Order: sequence, then C-alpha cells, then structure tokens
Amino acid sequence: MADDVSELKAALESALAQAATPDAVEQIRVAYLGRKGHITGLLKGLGKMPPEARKAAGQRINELKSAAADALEARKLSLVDAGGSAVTIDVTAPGLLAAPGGLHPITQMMYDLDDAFAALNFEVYQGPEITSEASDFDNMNFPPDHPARESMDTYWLSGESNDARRCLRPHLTGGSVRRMLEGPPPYRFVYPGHVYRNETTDARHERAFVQYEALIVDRDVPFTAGRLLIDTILQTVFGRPVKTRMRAGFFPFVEPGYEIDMECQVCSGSGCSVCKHVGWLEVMPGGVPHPNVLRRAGLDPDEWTGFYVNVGLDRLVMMRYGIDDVRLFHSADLRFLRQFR
Amino acid sequence: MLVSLEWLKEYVDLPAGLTPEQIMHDLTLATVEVEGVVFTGQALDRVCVAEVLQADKVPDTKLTLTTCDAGEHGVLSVVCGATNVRAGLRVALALPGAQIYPKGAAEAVEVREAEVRGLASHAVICSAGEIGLAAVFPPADEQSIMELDELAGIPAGTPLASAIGFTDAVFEIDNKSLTNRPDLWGHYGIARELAAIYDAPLSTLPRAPEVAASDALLAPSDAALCNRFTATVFEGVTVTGAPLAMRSRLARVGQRSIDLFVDLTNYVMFACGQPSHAYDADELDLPMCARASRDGEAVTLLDGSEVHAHPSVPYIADARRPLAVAGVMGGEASGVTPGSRRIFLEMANFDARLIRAASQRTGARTEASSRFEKALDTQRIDAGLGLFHQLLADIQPEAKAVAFQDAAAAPTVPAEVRVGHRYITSRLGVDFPVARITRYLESLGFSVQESAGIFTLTAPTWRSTGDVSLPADIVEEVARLHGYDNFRFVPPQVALTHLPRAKRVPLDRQVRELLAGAGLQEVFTYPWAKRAQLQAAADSWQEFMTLEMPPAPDQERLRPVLLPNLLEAVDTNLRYFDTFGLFEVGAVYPGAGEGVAAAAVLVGDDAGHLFRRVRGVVEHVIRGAQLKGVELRPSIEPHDWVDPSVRLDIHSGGEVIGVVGRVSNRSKRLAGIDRAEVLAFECRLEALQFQPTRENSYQRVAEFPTSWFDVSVLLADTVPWAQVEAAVVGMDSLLREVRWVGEYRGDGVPQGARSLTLRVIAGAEDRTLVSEEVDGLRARVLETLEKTLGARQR
Repeated sequence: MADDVSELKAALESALAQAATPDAVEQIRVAYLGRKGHITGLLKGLGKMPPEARKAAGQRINELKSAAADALEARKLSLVDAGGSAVTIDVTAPGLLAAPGGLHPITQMMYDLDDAFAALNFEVYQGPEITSEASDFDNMNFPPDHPARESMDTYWLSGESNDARRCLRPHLTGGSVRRMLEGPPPYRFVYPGHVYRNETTDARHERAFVQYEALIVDRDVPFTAGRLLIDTILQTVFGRPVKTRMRAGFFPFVEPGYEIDMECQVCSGSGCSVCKHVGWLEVMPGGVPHPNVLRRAGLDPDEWTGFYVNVGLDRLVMMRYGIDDVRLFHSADLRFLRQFR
Repeated sequence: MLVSLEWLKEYVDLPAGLTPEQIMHDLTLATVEVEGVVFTGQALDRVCVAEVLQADKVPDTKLTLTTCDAGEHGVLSVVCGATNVRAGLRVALALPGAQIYPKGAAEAVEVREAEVRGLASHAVICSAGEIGLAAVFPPADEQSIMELDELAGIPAGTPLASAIGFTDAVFEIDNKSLTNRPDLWGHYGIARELAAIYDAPLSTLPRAPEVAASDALLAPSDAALCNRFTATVFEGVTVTGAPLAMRSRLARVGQRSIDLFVDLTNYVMFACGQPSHAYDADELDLPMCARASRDGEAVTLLDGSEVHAHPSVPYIADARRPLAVAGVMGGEASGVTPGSRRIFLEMANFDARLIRAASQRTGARTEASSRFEKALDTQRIDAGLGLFHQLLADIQPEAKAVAFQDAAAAPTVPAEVRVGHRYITSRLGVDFPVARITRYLESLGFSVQESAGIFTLTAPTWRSTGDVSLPADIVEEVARLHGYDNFRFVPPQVALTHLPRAKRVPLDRQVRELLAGAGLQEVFTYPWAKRAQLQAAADSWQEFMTLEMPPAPDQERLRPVLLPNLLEAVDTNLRYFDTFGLFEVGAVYPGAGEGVAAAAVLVGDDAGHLFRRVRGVVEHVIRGAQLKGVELRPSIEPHDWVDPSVRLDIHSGGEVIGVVGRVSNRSKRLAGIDRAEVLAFECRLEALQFQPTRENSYQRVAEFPTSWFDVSVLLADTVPWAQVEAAVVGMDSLLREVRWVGEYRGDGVPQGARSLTLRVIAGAEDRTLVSEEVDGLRARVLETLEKTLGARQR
C-alpha cells in the first residue's frame, strides 16, 4: 500500500515533468484523478482494507490526491504562462499602418524649421502668392532699370497695365516689407512659401519651388546675429552643427550682403565632386536689410537694423536625403512621396 | 573673368609664400567669388624649346627627318610632316609623355617614341594648335609648325611654359559677383583689392605725357550718352604683331592676339578696365563724336553683323558716317589695317544704361559693353591713356602722339558719406577704434576725416559710380577687410514681448497635419492648370488669371480651385496604385483674387465606403482644428465635378465654402480616369476661424453600467441613416446613443433595400437596467422602426 502511494507519486512527477502542453497535463489529470484514475482507484480500494489500516492509508492517499491536484494545477499554469500565440506569426512580414498618409517632404522640413524658430519666439508669416512689381522690385530696392525686372524669368500676369504689373511671386522677400507694414517693430519672423520662375526644367531646375526666409529687425543688431538664423536652419536640417562661412555678396535688398557657404556634407570640407573640390557649398544669401527696404517698411534705417536670410528648401531637402531630381517634388508621384512618411 | 597672378604681381607686391589657393580663398571671402584656379603651365608639361640642327627630306614622302637639339633632353631625331621645318629653326618640341592635340583630335594624345616609315622619331615638333597656343602664336596655316624666332636667346631644352611666361596661375572669377564692382574689371583693380587685404604695396600706373592739344579731333557728343571722350592721334606707327609678353598675358586671360593695336587696346582694358578703340586715322573725316543713330544709318561691325539705326543704338561717327556702336563694338570700315600709318585712339566713357540697352538691342555682348554697363568712372581714362602711351613707347619708340583732345562733359564726382562711429560699431558688434576703421578705409582709397565721432569720407572715384553711397556701405567695407570670419558671435538682445498672433500653429498647417494623420498623402502641384483638367473639374469658371508667358500653351490659366490638378495626380498614380488618398493645401486664384483651399481625393473601387471615409476625413479636420460653426449639409445644387446623388456641402457662417462627394462620371472621363471611383472634397480655408478656445463640452461619466443590443432590419434604400438615428434616439429617455454597425446588400436582401445593423446603448442615471427592461426597449425599437420607417426585422 505504502509502495503504491510512493510509486504513484513518483510516476505522476515524472509524467508531469514530461508534459509539454496544458492538454497533456489535462490527460495526466484524467489518468490520475479521473473517475477511473489511479489515485481514484486507490481510494476505491480503501473499502477492501482492514478497518485498522484504513484510517492511516486513507490519510496518505488523500494527501497524495491533494498534492497531485496542486502539482497538476501548478504545471498547467506554468505551461499556460510560458505559452505563446495560438497561431504561427511571421515576424518578418511588413508592418501595417492604420492610416498610411504623410506630409510632403518639403512641408515636413518647413514645419521642423517653423518649430525651431518658434522656440526662438519667431512668428510664422504667410503672404499672398500673387504680388506686384511694386512689392517685389520697387520695395526691394531694385533700380528701375535693373535687369531682373526686364528678365523673362518672372511669371507676369497678362492683361495688366504697365505701371501696376502683377506676377506670381518670384521670391519671398517682398513679403517681408508687407509684414513689417502690418505692425510696429521689432520684428522676428520666418516666412516660408512657394515661389515661381519661368525656367526650362531639368533635374536641377524647377518652375515652382519653396523658399524659407527669416528676418530679425531690432535696434543694435550686429550682423553676426545672422549666424543665429543660419545655424538654426542648418542644424535643424542636418541634425548637427554645420560649419558655415559668410563672404561678400551683392543683392539689391541688402547692404551689406553675404553669400553664406556651408561645409560640404559629402566630403566634410576636404573637396569632392559635389562641391567642385572647394569644400564649401553656396547655401543661402543673407544680409542686413538695405536702408531703402527699411524705409519702404516705414522704419528709420539709422535706428533700426537687422539680418535676413533666404534659403531654397528644395535644395536643402535634396541635400538632406540625397535626392537627385528636383522635379520629383511637384510630380505628385506616390512612389516618391511615400518614402518620406 | 580670368585674372593672371603673374600680371597682378606687376602691380602688387604680395607677401612671400602666399599660394594661389590662399589668394583664391581670401579674395572669395572678402571681395568676389573665385570659382577656380588654372595652372597654365601644366598643359605644356614636357614641351621644350629646341633647335633644328639638320633637316633632310625623306624621299618620296612629304616628311622631313630632323635632328633636334633639345638641350638637357639630348639630340633627338624627329620625323616632321610640316613644310616649314628647316635647319636653324627654333621649335616647340613635345617629348614623350607630353599631352598634345593633333589636328582634329577631340582629346589629348600622349606623345610616344614612334617609328615612321621605318625611321625612328623620338618626339613631336608642334604646331601652335597642337599645344593650345594659337592665341599667342597665330599660325600661318594649320599645317605649319611654330617658328619661335622670338625665343632666340632661350637655351634649347628650356621648358616652353617658362620660356613664354605660361608658368602662371589664372583665377576664374564669377562675373555675377562683380556686377556691383566696376572697379574690379581689370587686373589693377583686383591688385588694389589684394593690396588692401594683405596690407601690401601697390604700384601706381603711369600718367600720359603732354600731347599737343587740338580742338579739331572731336565734335560735341550727346551729353546723356557720353561722359568723357578723349581722342589721341599717333603718327609713324607700324601695324605689326604685339610682343610675345603681351600676347602671352592676353592669351592666358582668354584673349586671342590680332595685331599690335587691337592687342594694345585689349591689354589696357584687361589691365585697368577701360575699353578703347583704335581707328585708322586716314580713313576718318574728323571731327568724331558719340551720338544717337539717325534714320537710315547702318554700320557693319567687326564681327560682320549689320546694325541699323534705332533709338537705343548710339553711334561713334565722324563728320561723314557712323563708324561703330558706341561702347559696344567697332566697325569694319574704319579699323586698323596692316597698311595703317596713323592711328586715332578713342578712349571714352558712356552711360551705363544706354550701353546695356545698345548691347541688348544689337545682341552684341562684348568685353567693352559688359564693362561700360557696370558704370565706369571717367577718371580711369587717365590711367588707360598713361598705360597705352607707355606700352607703345616701349614697343615702337618712333611712334609719336601728335594731337590730343579731351571732352570731359561729366566727370565722376567722388561720393561723400557721413557716418557715425557708433553706427559702425553697433552694426559690427565690435568696438573698433577710429584709427583701425580709418586704416581699413584708407587702404581702399577712401579719404577719411573724423571729428566728434562722425566720419566724413570721400570715396575714390572708382567706387563712386553707385557702389558706395550709404553708411551701410561703409560698414561692409570695414567688415570685409577685417574678415567676416574674424567676428565673434554676439547674441542679439531682444525685448521679450508676446507675439502679435495668438495661435502658434496656423490653420493651413493644422489642416495638413490632420489630413496626413487621416491617411492621405500631401502632394504639390503647380498653380497653373491644363485646359483639359480645368474642363474636367472647373468647367463653370468664366474668368481666370492668366500668365503672359505660360509654361506651355495649354497652361496659361491659374487654377481657380485645386481639384483639376489633383485629378491629374490621380491619373498619374493609377498607373501604379489601385487604392490611395492625396491632398493639397495651397493657393487658388478664383477670378481676380487669391485664396487658400484644401482638397483631397480618395481613390478605390467601393464608392460607398470611400464616401464614408472622405466624410470622416472632413469631420476629423473640423473637430481636430477646433473650427467654428462648420457643418455638412445635403444639397443638390449643380457643381463642376460632383455627382449630385453622392454629395454634401460644407457650410460655414451661412455660406457654402466647400463640397464633398463623388467625382462624376463626366469629370472622370475628361480627366482620363476610367477604372476607379474617386471621392473628393474641396474647401476654402480663408473664411474659417478657430474656436477662441477649446469648446468641447463635458457630460458626467455614467455611474452605473450601460447595456447594449444590436438590431438588424431590412429597410428600403430610400430611408437614410439619419432618419433611422432620429427615430430611435428620441424614443425613450433610457436610450443614450445609436451607433452605425454596418449595412449589407446581397443574398436574402431584396433589390432596392438593405439590411442595416444598429447598436443601441441604454442606461439609467440611478441603477443598472435589468434584462426585462433591455428586452422591452429592444422590442419597442423594432416596433418603432417597423411603424415609422417600414422596417422588417431580419
């Protein structure tokens, strides 16, 4: 009798150890504790035992039954807890997006820049896309005979009288005077937007592109403040500090004017085919708003000064991602746009 | 513009050890963009001066077998095909390893030892064209080898580059960066700039000698056109070739040698930026003048083109006829010829705008016109004359200037600028003392006076034609000479005030981000639209803004709405995708004005599903952007692109500002879309307003659990969901909400009907509903639907 109990206990332990699934544990439970189970059988056998032995044997068998029930439950729980999915899952299958949409890569960059400038308490200004010769040339200190006015690369509207010609804006800078006329100085604003030039398109030339302008106007702003604008833009785009240099440049609406170069990100300045072996890439013009521009904005140029930069976002985005054809931006081609979700 | 370092060094004594690369860098940062530097000697590597010792015709061929003394390279036998090869001649000998361009070859060929007709040939005797020197040594014909008589004193074996002055570094300067600096359009101007940058000594240019004054050379010129006209007559001249050193310099800066006098005028122009023109004095009927062209007057220019009279074409004319287009190009008839013995030198100054107009009118963009149109100072004529006299005297001492006339109508007035010391230092962000500012400005030729913190500055004439006129210009001069990179960053100090606009994120950005979040991809299209697309989706528009010079003939109209271009984008993408969504937020040009709109398209095959999605997108934007008073209302008003049976209007403030619905079959056909359903919305944004603050309302969260049950009924298609919802919601106060679960058409559902499943949520404020209550509600919902809407339980 004593042997039966010990044997059953050992057999149960060994069977449980081998059970690999909750179902197997259930089968063991039926085999031991079921109506025709081994332990049930022992209990049934009690009646045939002499009464003096029955009490002790009954106690031992009941202990075994209770221990067996605990062991079965424990084994079952441990197998359930350790178990995985009921179905096989291929973890290499592509991920699903609830709603696969996205912003245009240029819009994404624009908003990154807006946020960076918002952190410097710059306002985001937006102006109209139809502008006039008065706004984009007169206010910008282009002399009446400046070749840019005569040039064929502005999209002039047809049927306009000659003294008030309107156009799709060829650059953003005219809008900065418009903004300054809306309220008193000082000013800190960025001005992103689409601009248009009548060009023959190829991989490097587009008729429609996006510029990003930043302007600060205050008293006693040294020209080195421009570095704040330049660095904010380039660090946001490239995610790390980018070495830049300022050199003399000439634009009618700034004085002094600068060409701003950044260290070539391909060769880190050592010279390569991208930077024509100079180590630097011309990235944006900038400068101090010309006194005539400030006057057009109703400001006294002896009292107010500032700094302005204007960068072509298309080119920055191309540099950032290694895009080799500017025409893709206006292609509306999802095969291209979906890469930037 | 090409600038020779060797030439610059004639005028400025640069610091020892300065490399061309360093000059390129420094000039780029301080003054103008130097795009590159070319070492002109490199192309002549392994080409040396040699003497032909012996030349023997090879029988039955056109070849000559020569023996050449190549100095340290030895005495070499060379087979030569040229007819002018002969003993005693000095030649350019290309040794093995040299790169030459044989006649007709597009790419360089490396010279090797070779065997010609069984004769060993150890080098090549070169023609000027083969080594790129035709500009210095104009060849008699293409077959001839160079005859280097001018190098008689040079030992055989000397590298040709050093013998002819080609061991030079030539800078390529970006002309665009020179547009506002007329003073830099010559070597002396660049040298003057380098002298200031490096604080290096600058030599002065010679002055012209006194010449007998005459008043018979010039007649009065047109004052608006001509600021100064000088005429000098030289006698006893011989029209030969220019000396090698002059031809060499001209060639290195890209100018072909013509004859002594053309070369002299070019040389003076490249040296000090002053164009001039030499005439054969015996061909002229003096006096000369600069004046407008007169009707019927035509001139044949040096390049053979014919120019006719026009208000924007001014002439140089003698008493009889026009001879040249002023400031642009000389005429064919009056030029210097080999037989000329007397020269009339015109050195004048013209109005920049008129010369630009003349250049545009005639289509002739010359070295002269590109200088005059930048506005030159009249005083540089003195430097030009001085240089011309000195050069001619050195080359032909027998030539004499016999008459001179100077008609100076409007000398350039030196610009005066008054600027405060503090103005300069506050804009530089550095407290430069007066002495340092003075030093920088004086090195650039300014005369400087300072008193009580105010500078009174007189600009040199070469900076006074528009370049320098304002205090800001002075800041730039000081900053660039100090070096922009040498200024420390000074953080700007600003007063912290709130922004004039309260809302940080503008509406267009919110709308873009919400649309992208709703599963649509943003696209950029052009502001103009093709006629076909406009017909498809904007056919009712009568007025358009149009472009004077459109990108293509059928794209002159600016888009009044966004959808035409979005439909084109749908067509494009259907080539690669079946199901997708696109949107654009951008400017639209309805009639004579400009607005901002948002539009989206959803493409797929199930119009019912797509409609619910596009409607969901619109509702998502309205909620997400916290828009005030925007709602969707049914409408059957005709509209350009909408299928009237599947459409809602977007209302705001009592006005229809947009539409959402299915793109009609007609619009799809015209837009070339034949195999997909397209659901779309377009909405004007400028009228929309944000809620002043968030306006969601709070309802207490139920304390007791709610119950729900689903009901499926058969309903006629004519009964819309809105009626079902309205009938159930108002039925009993215990009914909290009715939700759409789904609809089904197909097996078991008759034509013209659908099976609609709705979920009803019920609950009480003070208790949990018992199942009898829920069952009762369920029965009443069914009963109501049956009685009021003719529904049947499924």
